Amino acid sequence: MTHASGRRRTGRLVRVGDRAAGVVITLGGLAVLGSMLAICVFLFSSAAPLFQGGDAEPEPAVVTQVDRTPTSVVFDPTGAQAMLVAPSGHARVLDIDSGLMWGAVSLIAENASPRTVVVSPDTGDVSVGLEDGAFQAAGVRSSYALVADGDPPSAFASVEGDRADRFVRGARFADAAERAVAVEPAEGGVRVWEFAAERREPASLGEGLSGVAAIASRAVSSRERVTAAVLEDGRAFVASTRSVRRLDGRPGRERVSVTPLPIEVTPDRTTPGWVFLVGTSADVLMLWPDGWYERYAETEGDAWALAERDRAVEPGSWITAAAPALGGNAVLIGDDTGRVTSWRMTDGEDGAASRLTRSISVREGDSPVRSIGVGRRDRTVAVGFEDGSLVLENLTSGKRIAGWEGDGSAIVAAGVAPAVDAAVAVSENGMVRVWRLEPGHPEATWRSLFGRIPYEGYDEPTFVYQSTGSPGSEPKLSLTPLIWGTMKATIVAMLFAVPLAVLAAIYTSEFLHPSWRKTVKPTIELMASLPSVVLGFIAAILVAPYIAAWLPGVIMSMGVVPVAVLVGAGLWRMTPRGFRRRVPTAVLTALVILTILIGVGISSAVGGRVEALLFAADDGGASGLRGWLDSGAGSAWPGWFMAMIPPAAAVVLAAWWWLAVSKWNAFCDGLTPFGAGIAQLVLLAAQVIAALTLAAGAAGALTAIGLDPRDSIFGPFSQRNTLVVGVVMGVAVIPIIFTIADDALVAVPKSLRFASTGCGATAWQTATRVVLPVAGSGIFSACMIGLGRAVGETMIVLMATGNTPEMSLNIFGGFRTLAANIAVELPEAPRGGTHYRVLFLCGLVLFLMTLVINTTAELVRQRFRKRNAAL
Amino acid sequence: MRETVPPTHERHKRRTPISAHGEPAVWVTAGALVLCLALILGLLVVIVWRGGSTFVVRPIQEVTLDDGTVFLGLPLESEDARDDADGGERRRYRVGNRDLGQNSFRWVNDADVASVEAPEDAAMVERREWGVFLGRIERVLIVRNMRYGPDDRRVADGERVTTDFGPATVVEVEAEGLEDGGARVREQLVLGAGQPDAREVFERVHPIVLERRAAIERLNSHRVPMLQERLARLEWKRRGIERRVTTEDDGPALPAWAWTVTLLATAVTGVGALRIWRMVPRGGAARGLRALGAAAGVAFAVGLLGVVTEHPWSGDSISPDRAAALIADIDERSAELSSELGRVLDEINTRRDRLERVRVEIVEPTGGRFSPLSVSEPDAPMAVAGVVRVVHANELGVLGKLRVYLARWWEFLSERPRANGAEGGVLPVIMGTVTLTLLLTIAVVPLGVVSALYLREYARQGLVTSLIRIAINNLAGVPSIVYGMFGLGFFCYGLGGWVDAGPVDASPRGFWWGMIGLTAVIVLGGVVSVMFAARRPGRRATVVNRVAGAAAWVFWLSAAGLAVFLIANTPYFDGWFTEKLPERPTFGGRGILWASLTLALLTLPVVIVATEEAISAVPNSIREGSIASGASRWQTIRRVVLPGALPGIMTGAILAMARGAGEVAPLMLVGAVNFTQASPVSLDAPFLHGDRTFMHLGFHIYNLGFQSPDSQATEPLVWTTTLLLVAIVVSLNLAAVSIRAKLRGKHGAAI
Repeated sequence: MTHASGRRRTGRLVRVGDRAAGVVITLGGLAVLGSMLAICVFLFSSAAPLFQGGDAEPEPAVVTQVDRTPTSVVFDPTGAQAMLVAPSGHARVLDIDSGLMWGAVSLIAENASPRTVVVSPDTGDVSVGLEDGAFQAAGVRSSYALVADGDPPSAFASVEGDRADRFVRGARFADAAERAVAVEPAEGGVRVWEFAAERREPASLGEGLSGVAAIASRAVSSRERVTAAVLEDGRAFVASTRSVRRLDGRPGRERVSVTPLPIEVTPDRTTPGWVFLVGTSADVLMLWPDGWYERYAETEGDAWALAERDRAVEPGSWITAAAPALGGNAVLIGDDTGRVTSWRMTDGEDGAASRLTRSISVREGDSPVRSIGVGRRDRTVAVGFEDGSLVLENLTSGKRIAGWEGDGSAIVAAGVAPAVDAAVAVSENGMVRVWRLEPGHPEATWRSLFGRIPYEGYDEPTFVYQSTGSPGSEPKLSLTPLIWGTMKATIVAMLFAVPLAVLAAIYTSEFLHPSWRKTVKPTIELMASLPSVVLGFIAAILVAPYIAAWLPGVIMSMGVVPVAVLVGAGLWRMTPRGFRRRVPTAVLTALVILTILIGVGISSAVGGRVEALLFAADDGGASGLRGWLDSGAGSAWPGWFMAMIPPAAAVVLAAWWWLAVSKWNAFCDGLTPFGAGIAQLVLLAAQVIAALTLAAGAAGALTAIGLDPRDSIFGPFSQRNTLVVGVVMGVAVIPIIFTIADDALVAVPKSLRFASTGCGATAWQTATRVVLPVAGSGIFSACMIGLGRAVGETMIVLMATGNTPEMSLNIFGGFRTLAANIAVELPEAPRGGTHYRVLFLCGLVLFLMTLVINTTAELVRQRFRKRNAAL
Repeated sequence: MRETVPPTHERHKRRTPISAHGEPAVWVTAGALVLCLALILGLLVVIVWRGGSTFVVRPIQEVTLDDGTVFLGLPLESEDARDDADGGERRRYRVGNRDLGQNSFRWVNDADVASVEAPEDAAMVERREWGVFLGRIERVLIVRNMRYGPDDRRVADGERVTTDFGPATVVEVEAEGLEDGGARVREQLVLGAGQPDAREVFERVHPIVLERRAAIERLNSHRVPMLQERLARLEWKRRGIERRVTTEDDGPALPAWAWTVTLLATAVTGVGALRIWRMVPRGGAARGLRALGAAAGVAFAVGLLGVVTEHPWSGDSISPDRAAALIADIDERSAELSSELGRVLDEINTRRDRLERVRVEIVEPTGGRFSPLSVSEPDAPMAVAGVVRVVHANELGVLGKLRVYLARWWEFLSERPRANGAEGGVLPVIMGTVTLTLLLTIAVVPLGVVSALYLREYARQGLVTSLIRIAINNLAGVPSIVYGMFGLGFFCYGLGGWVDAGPVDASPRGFWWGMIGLTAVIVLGGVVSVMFAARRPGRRATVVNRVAGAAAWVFWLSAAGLAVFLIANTPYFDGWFTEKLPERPTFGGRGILWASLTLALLTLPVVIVATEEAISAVPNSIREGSIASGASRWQTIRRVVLPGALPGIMTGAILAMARGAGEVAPLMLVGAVNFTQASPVSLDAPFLHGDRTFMHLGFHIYNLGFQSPDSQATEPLVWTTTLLLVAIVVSLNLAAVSIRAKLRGKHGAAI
């Protein structure tokens, strides 16, 4: 009892403090786990929306009835209004927000009678074919005036009550007289917009012609327009309109020159249904409803000739709709099976004639295609079907953005807003419907991000990364070239770093005197702390020009230096045993340094001559290795020879190892040290000669087959190339690999070493047969950690390469890695956009790569620890 | 004993075979080590050599070419001439005088050189603009525009007058008679002309001018930005008031009666909870009652939150009258500030103009052209205030050269950059780096130490700790650029955006309160399951205990997740800096705060690993002794474990600093900029501006080396910056290494 009463109770404050500390510390510990998870989750959640579809409202936001059914819909660049053009040549402006129609403007001269009206999707220009064989260009232009009045001017009657608040937020009003007018509040008043038709004078194709059945027009320069027109009777003409600027500033006159196309007109042939101007050369493409197309190309002297004639759809199908794609390089053709295909001009390979090829199939439906609307800013198309359904799809990625079921009335005109946030469909019965949607990220699909895509201007599906370009260009977002570049840089760096670091670690831990080890290890570790920006700077300013200037010597030294060291070892073997034991480590090290210096000296002295021998200047052009690389001329043999030396050396060494090493050792052991040294040198010479011969033979064989290394591992030389990055990034990861490998080697229990040496093994035997097998997994883990570091290295790659996202094996070429891509592009990417998210996907890929590498390293290391603990 | 040795012993002893020594292979490994060391030392030598030689005073050579042109240049390296058929050499000269239309460098073939001299009077003049000028100081003068009345006495040509800078001779350049009989006269007062004289005068005048200039610059760089900042703040404040007047109230708060009822109920539950808690004995079977108490406590907390947030007088708006009064007050203050700013600017301009009258003619050998006042005024000699330093390199002795060398280093460390960073110093860059590093250390050390304590002292080694260890290992391996992305997306845009403008899409109030209720239930579940998780003293854990323990984890984690969600989506927070949006985000953009937090995350594994090592090196016996003496766990940690681990923690902190100082890739995304006038640390309240962008040594290297318009001219300074950065990083690392070595010495080989 007294015992209990003598015990003091712990103070309240102490208890509370203890509790609080426990809670805080536990929370802090969990916060680390939390932050790891947060990074993971954040990267995922930033990249994930790329793979989600759009979010489309099922019901139309606006439904309006119009009297003259339009056949074309084209949005203005802001996406706030759409112009609906009817075959009668009347255009009405539809306000997308409010659904109001702003009066009509006539695009056609008063006394003219239109036959065909076509609207260009990217400019909104209208081409009209007239009944009398003439054509006319027109457009709708908007202008505004500022009216200093805070309230809505009385002239513009407010529309319905529930839309009154729109005025405050900046919506538009139709004026009472149904003119094409809009009002918008602005600083200090209201802005009154007026839309007016801008009509050019009709230009005749010739006298006494029939009506124009199909027409296409395209500006080929700032002064010249080309118009292709097909008449009802099947004849076709190309008209070139040049505007002549007048000095006095009055509106210029236009000069029209008309060329007939050599089209065969036979009575049983129907009239072409569509005509387009495609490709960079603006060839005339005519489509017949029965599925045939003909392409006419301009030959010398303003004459035109038939270039090709083929079917665009399966036999038995009919073409039911066609539209030019954005940019004019492709044509979209829809058929009665509900399929839309994209056709584009392909430059024939090796000088063959260019052809029109089908690139992608957009969508297969069961109802015939009635109309195709093309987006103004990206590669989105709106396809309207006979059954009244409407589908939005991205041409590049093939991603379906949205789709709406129809009401049975065919869709005769479809349009999609520039930002893909609205779609317009006009039904045959005159119903205009506007749907709103969130497009998501139409350009991004698994295929467009990682696969081959048949981009416009490319002959075949390719991996391309080109995130920014001129407006209207197709974004190319394949991450494969970036992943490729990352791999390439990492592999080259590891090829350089791993042998050096691991061998150095073996020497440090097994052969170096412990007192030396104490200084050597921290020195190399110090290197790990060098900021990578410093290494990148040195790579770009010193290493790259040096390698460019001394390329042959640098390449040669990679082979000569090891050989020189081996020669040194052979000579060393020749010395008497007693002498060798007495020589201190410092002298030995100095000797090794000397051999390396001799190797470097030999390669820099001889490099130029060897280069001249192998890559002699041919036909007066650039000479030497650089010339050989850049010009692509000359025999392939020297390159193959150069490339084949390392594998040949490996083969020779391996063969020797499997076949003769034990016999050789036995033979050497019977010799005096001097004799063994001589034998060693002779062996080395034999091996070198064998390797060179093998390489020469292999190179001859490869050249005979007709392969050229410049198509794969070599290529044009750029100063900031893979080799430079490999060397410098290698230098950056050497310390990491070295330190961890050294730790792993040192961690091998002493007892094992003692047992081995106690049995009479030499240090070398102990190292190779006892220590290395035990420490192997630790060394592997060291290499993996180095690999993880190299994969994510940013600054060196950013500064020491050209950052061109090319995909080649060329070790003298540039590349772009995932990390460098993020560093270059993320500061400019608008937040939340497709580009931003694609960059986050880059980060995620990088993160996952390092996660896999690090986890592998960790698992291997744990296994290593467990085994060591057991030993 | 002799018998046991077999007689054949001698025959059995074999020589070690030669191949067993593995000679060639050992040589290869040694070669690898030598190469590694050579690479590293070579790098360091190159950095030290190139960085250290930037400021070396080079001789000035007067080179006369065969075609008669003469120029002054600083000789640099030479190489084989490219266009010389005889295989001669060519030499690169650093030539200044860029404003006279020359390049920074000039290659001259040795074959073209007629003579090379090293004139003693040639000077290298470092200027504030347009870089170096090579020439001779010929005249020092004061140029002034005087306006004389008809009766004023005018100085005569050739007259000696006294000026601030000593006696001068008057040279009248232009006189223009005015209508009233007076005259406007452009006068030159020559203080010194000719070689030795002009130089003496210049050496006397230059320090005075520099002192005056420094005074003006102080005004310009401290007072003016401060006033501007205050004006801007008043403007933001005004906008905030205007916004609060115009926005309507967020809708009705709780009606007064409901609020009163809630208040009363909350008070009652609070009192009830307290009473129950006090009544129930610790331990024992009264778990149900205690759970009730906990429920009352949670209800009290929720009620209190509701009462605080939904008070009937809530609302952000202020009455128009009050707003008008406030705005009038602001207008008055800003008018005062503007007039003061105007006065200061006027004064600066007047003083600058007066100082700019003092000129110096530095003449080039060819053509006798002199360093102009500006490119647009080639006929006027430059102002003395524009001269930073004059070095007569050829007549300097070793000591003199050393003095100039050191003075240049000092300038480099203590001045702002000039000429797009090609000249001048890196003081703001150092400041930015230091601020960033300190902030990151402040952020990372507590978190790292707490995590390490958790791992070593608190956590039961099991699934959670191994998960955390895997997390730490992976965090250490994540590329730094990924941290940058995370920093930009999460800290800058996410957290910063929230601080600026509140939640992007706040939950509706009803939903939010629903979630509060859910959270309360979950917290209650957590409390109750913790009660059931505690095993009876002296008994083994039952199934109920285990299940409740697991459930407690689930409850607490989901409660934490919900709490984050509730804070992130609160409808009661509109942001603290809404008035600057959208054109000028405060914390919603890049800034030093987010940059340092990003780097803190990046360096967290370093600190955790180092601290863990140090904590595990503290012997268990000491811990046990402390506990046995009756100290609580926390007391043991605070008084015994942490002091013992302090060197290790410091090692970790220093390593983190070194890493943070050298890291560039993430900073490119979260806040480092090429140039900023507004430093993140200033004399302006709140002194440390977490929202400001900053300059950083590593980014400065990248930027100057790769983004600069004249990268050839900036290269020497980039090397010096590199040397500085490497010196900082290496010395931090050496410090860490030496502390660690001491620690090892103290605790033996345990670590």
